[in-house]
Order: sequence, then C-alpha cells, then structure tokens
Amino acid sequence: MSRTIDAVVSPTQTNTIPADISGQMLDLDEDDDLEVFSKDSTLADGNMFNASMQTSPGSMVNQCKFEEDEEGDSKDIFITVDNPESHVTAIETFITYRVLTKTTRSEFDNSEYEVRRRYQDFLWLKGKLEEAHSTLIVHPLPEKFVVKGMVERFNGDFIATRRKALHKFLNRIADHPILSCSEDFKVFLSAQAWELTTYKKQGPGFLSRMGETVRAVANSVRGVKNRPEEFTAIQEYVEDFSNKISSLDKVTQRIVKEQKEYLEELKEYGPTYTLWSGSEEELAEQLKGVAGCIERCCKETEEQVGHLSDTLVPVLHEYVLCAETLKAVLRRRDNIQAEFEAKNETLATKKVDRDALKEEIDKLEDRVEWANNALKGDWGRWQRSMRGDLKSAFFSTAEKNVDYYEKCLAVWETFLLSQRTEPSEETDRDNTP
Amino acid sequence: MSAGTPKPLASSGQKPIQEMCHPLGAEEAVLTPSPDVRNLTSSIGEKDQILPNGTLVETSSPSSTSSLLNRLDDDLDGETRDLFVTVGDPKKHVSTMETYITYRVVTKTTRVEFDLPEYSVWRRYQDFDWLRTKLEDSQPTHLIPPLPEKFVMKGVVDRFSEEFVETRRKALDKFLKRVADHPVLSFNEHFNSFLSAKDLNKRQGLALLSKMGESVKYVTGGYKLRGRPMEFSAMGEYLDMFTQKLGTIDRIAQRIIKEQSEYLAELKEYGPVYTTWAASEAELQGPLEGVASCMANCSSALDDLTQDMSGDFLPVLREYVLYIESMKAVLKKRDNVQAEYEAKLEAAALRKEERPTAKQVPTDVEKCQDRVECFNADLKSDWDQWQNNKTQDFRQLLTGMADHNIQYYEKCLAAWESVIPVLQDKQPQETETEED
Repeated sequence: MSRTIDAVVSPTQTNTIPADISGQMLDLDEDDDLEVFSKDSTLADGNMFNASMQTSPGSMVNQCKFEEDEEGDSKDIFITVDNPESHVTAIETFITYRVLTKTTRSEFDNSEYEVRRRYQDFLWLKGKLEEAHSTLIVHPLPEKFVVKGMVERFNGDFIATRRKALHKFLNRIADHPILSCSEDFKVFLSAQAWELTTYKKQGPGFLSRMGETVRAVANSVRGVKNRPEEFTAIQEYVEDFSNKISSLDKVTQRIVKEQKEYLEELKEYGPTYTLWSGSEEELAEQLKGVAGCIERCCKETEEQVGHLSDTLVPVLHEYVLCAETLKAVLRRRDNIQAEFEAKNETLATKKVDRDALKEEIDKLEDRVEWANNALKGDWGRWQRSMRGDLKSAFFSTAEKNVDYYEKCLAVWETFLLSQRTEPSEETDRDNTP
Repeated sequence: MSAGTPKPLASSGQKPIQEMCHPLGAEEAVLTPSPDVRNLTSSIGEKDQILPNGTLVETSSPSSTSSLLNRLDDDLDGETRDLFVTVGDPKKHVSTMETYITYRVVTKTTRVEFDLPEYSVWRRYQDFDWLRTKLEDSQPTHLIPPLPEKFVMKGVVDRFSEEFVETRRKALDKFLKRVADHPVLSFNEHFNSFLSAKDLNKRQGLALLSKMGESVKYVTGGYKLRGRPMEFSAMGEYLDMFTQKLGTIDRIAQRIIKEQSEYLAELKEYGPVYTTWAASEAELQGPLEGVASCMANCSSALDDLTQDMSGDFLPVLREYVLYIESMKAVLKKRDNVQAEYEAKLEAAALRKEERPTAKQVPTDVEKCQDRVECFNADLKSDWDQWQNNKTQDFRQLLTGMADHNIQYYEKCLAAWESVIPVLQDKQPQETETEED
C-alpha cells in the first residue's frame, strides 16, 4: 500500500533516524542477551521505551522507514490475530487472543513476536493512539458490549467476529504510515503480558489527560470560524454516510432476524410432509420428495444467513463505528483550528505578553497545518479502504447468494424432473409443457 | 347381527377400498378425450386467468396445463366426453341494494338432456350454494364436491380484489367440473337448470321446503350402528388423519407466508437505502445501485412467490378440509341408514318368532336393505373417484409448489448474477490480510 507522507516536516526537527536500539539494550542487559535474542523477546526494563506523549509528529514520521510503492508487496510487517483462549481467574473470566507479528523493520529487535492480548489491551492501544494522534483516523475496535442482549460474550460466533475485527484493527494501524511507528504499537506487539502491564502504568497520568480534554471542550464551545471548504465537504459527506450506513446496518440486522424466524418455521414444515407420506400410498413418494426439498433448502438457507451474519453485518457495523470516529476526528481538527483562531484574536485585541503568545500561535499554526494535511491523506486512504471493504463484502455476499440460489434451484428442479419421468399408473405423462 | 334369509350386505371382507367394483360396472365409464377436447381445454385451462374485463391471460406454467389434460385422461379414456363446463369472466354487479360478483358459466354439450348444444349464463355465489344444497338433498348417497368458503371477514379480506375473485372463480370452476365429471351428479336436473336456465330465482323458494323434506329421510335418529363394514371405518379413519395433516400443513404454510411477508417488508426498505447512499458516492455509485436493483428484483420475486402460494396452494388445502367435512357427514348418513336397517331387521326377526306365519322378509326391511346397499355402492364408487381426484389434485399442488419455488430461485439467481460483474469492476486497492 502506498505510504505517501503528506505531513509537513516541522523545521525544528532534524532528519535523524535513531540508531538501532538493540545495541543499547545489550549494553544495559548483558546478562539477558540470550533472552533478548530469543524468539519470545523480552525486555527487562520497561524504561527502554520512551513513551513520550508529546512526540512531534514530524519526528515520528522521520523515524519510520517507508517505501513509496503502490503494489504493496514490499509490506514489511505482518500481523495475525488468532487462537482465542479462555482464561479463568478467581475474579473474572476473559478471552485472550494470540497476536503474531512478523517484521523486517529495524525498530523491532526481532523478526517475530508472539504474545497474548485481551480486549482491554486493544482498548488501551487505541486510546494511546488517539491521544497522540488526535487528528488521524484510527480504525474502530469492535464494541465492548453487545447491547442486543442475545449474544453471549463467550459464544463462538461472537468471539470469531471479534477476532476478525481485532485482526483488521491491528493491520490497519500497521498499514498507516504514521500510526505504525508508534512506540505504543510496538510495545503492544512485542511485550510480554507483565511487561505490558508495567508499561501501561507509565506515561502522563489521568490529570494531564483531563487538562487536554478540558481545553478541547473549551475550544469546541468557541467554534471554528474559517473552516477550509474541503473539511466542510468532508463533514457533510460523513453526516450523510453515517445516516446511510446506520440504516443499512439496522435493516440488514432486521433482515437476518427475519430470515432466522423463517428458518424456524421451515424446519417444522418438512417433517409434516414426511409424516403425512406415511399414511398415503400413491402420494407417498411425492410427499417424501417435497419433504426432502424443504429440508435441503432449509440447510442452505441456514448457511446463507450465517454467511450474511459473518460477512456483511460485521463490515456494515464496523463502518457505523468508523463514521463516529470520523466525526470525532473532524471535531478535534476543528478544535485545534478554533484554539489557533482564538489565540490569534487575543493577540490582536488584548494586552498580553506578545512574544510568548506569538510563539504559541506559531506552534498552533504548525499543528493546524500538519493536522489538515495528515487528515487529508488519511481521508483519501480511508475512502479507498471503505470502498474496498464494502465492495469486497458485497461481492462475497453476491457470490454466496448465487451459490445459495443455484443450490435451491437444483433441489427443486431435480424433484420436478423425478415427477415427470416417474411411470404413472393411469396415463402416459408426456414432458411437453 | 342376526339375519334370516335376507341377502347379506355386500361385504368387502379384507379387500382394500380401491379394489371394490361399483355394482353398476365402473369399468365402462372410462373415456378418452377427442382431439377437440384438447384444444378446448387447453384454451380454457384451470389455471388460466380471466381478468375482470374478460380477456384471457395464458399462463406458461407447465405443470398446470399438462396435469389438467392428464386429469381428463384419467377420467375418460374410452368414450368421448360430452359435457364441458367453465366458469369465467367475473364481473362486478352494482345495484342499490347490494354489490356482488357474477360469473359467466359456459356449457358445451351433446347430451340429449339439454335442449341446446351451448349455454352461457350468469351466476353468483348464492346460485352455486343453492346448487350444492340441491345436490346434497337429491343425491345424499354421493359425495358432493365442496364450494369455496362462503363467508369472508369483511375487514380482513377484500371481497372485490382481483386475487380473491380469481381464487374464488377457480374454485367454482373446479366445483362445476367435478360435478360434470360425475356419472350420476352430472345428470341431476338441478345441475341442468343451473347450467341452462336464464333465471334461477324462482326455484329458490321451493328449495327451502324440499330441503327440509329430503334430508329428514336420511337423518334418522335413534338407531345404533352395530357393525360398520371395515372399509367405511377405514374411510372415516383416513379422513380424520387427512384432515389433521392438512390442518398442520395449512397452519405452518400460513406462518411461513407470514414470515416471508415480514422479510419482504424489510427487503423493500433495503434497496432504497442503497440507492439513496449511491447518490452521494462516486466510485461506489455503480456497485451500490447494482445492489439496490438486485434487492428490488428479489423483492418482487418473493412477492410473486408469496402470492402464488396464497393463491394456489392454501385454497386447495382449505377446499379439501371442507370436502372432508361434507364427506364425513355422508359417512354418518350411511351409518344411520345401516343402523335403521339393522334395527328394523331385528324387529322383524323378533316379530317372526312371535308369528311364524308372517312374510319372510317384510317389505320395509327390504327397502331398507336396498337403501343400504345402494348407499354403500354409491359411496364406494365415489370414494374411488375421490381418491383419484385427490391424488391428481395434490400431485398438481406439489408440482405447482416446486414450480413456484423454481421461478423464485431463478429470478433471485439472475438478479445476483447480474450484480457480480458490477462489484468486480475494480479490484480493491488494499490488499488487506483478509482471512477466511
């Protein structure tokens, strides 16, 4: 996938690529060098990772190696999420998933990592990414709770759907030129469970996050004055998209529900004919034939509904969540611009320390510019993914439906054919319509 | 039961019902259709729709026409059929008092009992009902085919909708055809009047009185039946079982149609959402519109299927439920007649003991015996015919069901197949690690 960087490199940053950190690690942990190079990489000291929350986007961009290729065959990181397992403790029961990473990136010490993560960990990662990159589009996670009530958390389908969504989530991040360079992302992929716990406890605490939120709220109250037209256009599109995709999501789920109810009735139907055939003589064969047709169609319908649930419903639902993410990102972009505009106004109207304020304004201007460009890039990427995902889901649904209708058609045609060629006692039944 | 020298009842012993011969020799009553017949019936087939304005709609359903022809073959391989009846052309009749539908009944015949070779009269449901009642009264030993249901819930069903009228017309047509095919009923004078008289009204008044008189004869109360011949018990049991099965199938089929209708309602909402969305997309517009039109096609296919099942399938089930009810009533009558005979016979035997010089078999006992034997014979032959018709009807019903399903699946298949190239247009840019 193409990784064109649309970000503007801030002039205050240098274009250095940090040295290979594996050397650093050896220095500090000589006793553990065997461990360091083992397959299940461990890191003795969580401090190795400078999880700086305020890392300038520019420097992060430069930390990443990226190729300008369109074909995607120079992808250098592969992640899979699989193997859900249940864990039972005294306090709770939860599911962990195996996260397997294969990579040639230099930021990683090893080429392969295998760790186990639970949903909470994914949530943490998402939170960190959104904090650090509030104006980038981070792919949504599957929902924490299923409100509909009918699905149990440990139901096989639920877990399978969740697993696929988590897999997609990580891969989308891996494909993102900026997000994939995140330290938190690296830690997520490589640290052992206890290390991750330690690592999570670091970083700016609750209070600083509060500060940011308060500021954001304050800014949003002010509102943005000169929003660039393209972002207004994007916002309108997102509103529209959000409505449409929500409708689709709802109706598709209702359709699945109706089909399931229909299936229930159908399951009762076939046996009635079989039962009846027991008390008939001449009609027995035909009745049994019909029973067989109904039962066969039942089976196919069940499969088709299952496919719809597994393939189309999750994708539509995922994009409902995407729409919400997009709205939030647009809002945050607006907030940065609003802050910039507000400070500018202050500069023009109030008696303050002009130099200090000017410096702040310059920084904000950079932020706005960077945010706008990054978002534009992300927007293009998002649209392409969206189209690809939806087309793929529709295509898969269409294929399955074609297969389904073909099979049902064959079932009934075979039956009809058997009726026409059956020797009849009373007459010669000819096959002409 | 004790008996002197009177003839024993024609008992069938262990023979199954189908193998019983009609004492009047049913073997001769087999006819083959002449070439004319085929042309005639294929142009006014049972399944042909006749729109209210009178034009015919040829249906292409293979099973219906061929099975109709086969039905003729069944009934008549031997002699030429000489009486053809069709019901068509439903028309709304509006008067100040009431509104109702009339149907045109066309008769073509070479029978001498009819003055003319062709008749065309207008009849309403009431008239059919009158006919059936007359037939039941005048031919109580025979199975009279059923009519479609008389009453419809005014709020629920539209009595003047095309579907309802068409379903009713088909059932009325079937009714008359069955009567026309019957070796005894078709010669009934009331049937003749029904087909030929311009005006039936005058007979209605008489009908009520005669109805009372005739049916009394056969609803003899108070006699207890001793030994019902096995075949009639078997008939009764079969009818009970059959009714039960039909009831179950009717119930479930209705539930299925209801589910399909609910699904259809959702489907009808679905397509438009895709269309609306397509309007705000560029690259995705084609695929989304493709999916939308696909949904629309599947909707209409399902609509057709549901209507077909409601119009063709369910009415037949209900018709047979009604048929069975009237058949059970006839069986009961037969039981009563036999019971009366048994009682009279016993009484006669007792009297004989007291007065040995009396006639061997009193005449009223003989009459009873005749009645029993005639009843049994008529019933047996009608039962055979009914079984044949039933097999034919249900064969047709089930192949019809297969046909409707096939049409539905074909339409849906075509719809989805046509959307695949639209979705394949451009391969998605991202090669996401999509897993199975």
